[in-house]
Amino acid sequence: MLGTEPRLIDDYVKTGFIRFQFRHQLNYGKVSELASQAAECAGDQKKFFAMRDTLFANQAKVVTPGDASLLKALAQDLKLDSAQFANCLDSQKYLAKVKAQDDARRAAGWTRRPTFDINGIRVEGNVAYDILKNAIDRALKQ
Amino acid sequence: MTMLRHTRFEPAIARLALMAVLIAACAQPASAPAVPPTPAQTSAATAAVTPTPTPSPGVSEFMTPEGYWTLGKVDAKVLFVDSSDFG
Repeated sequence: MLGTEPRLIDDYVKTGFIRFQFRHQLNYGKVSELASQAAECAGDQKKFFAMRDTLFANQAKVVTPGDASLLKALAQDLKLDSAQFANCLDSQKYLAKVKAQDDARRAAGWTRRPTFDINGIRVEGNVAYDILKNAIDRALKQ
Repeated sequence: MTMLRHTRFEPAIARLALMAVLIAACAQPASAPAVPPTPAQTSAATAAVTPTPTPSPGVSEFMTPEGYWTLGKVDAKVLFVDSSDFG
């Protein structure tokens, strides 16, 4: 998604055709929970998508279970208020929220990672830009 | 009184010395910086972290009433949902 997303943002989000929404999946226990909470805590400071992109860019090395130190360092690099971010993450204030989102997508049968939904058109897996573009263009014509 | 004796080797030695000086001069960079560059200040924990550009400049993010973070215009015709995992 990192490769195709900038094109989607340029072609469809900046031009006002689509609104791009993220929903959490938690497939890897504490690792997923902690990272998703980090994104939500960054959202408190209006940097949800900045943290999301940083997490994906560093996916292989972001967290070890139970260790939030790197996430806090990433928040610093994003110029977030470190104390506010740390308090948010340590308090787990968003744990129930990200779990609820994960429960909802499981209930909807979204089992692939990633799963896209484009006005009801489901696209699963890491697909080429043109596949997403075709689905968006179809939705725009409806 | 010390006698300086010229030998037939002296011109050759002088040429060799001159060549050594010229070679050494050529080996120096033409415009070596006066001060070595200072590496960017980065926290130790993120030294190996892949830098990412600030995403989507000029596009605003907002949270829907249902609690989903969303990028773009509130009234955009198409809702594009990305469901994924950071882990």
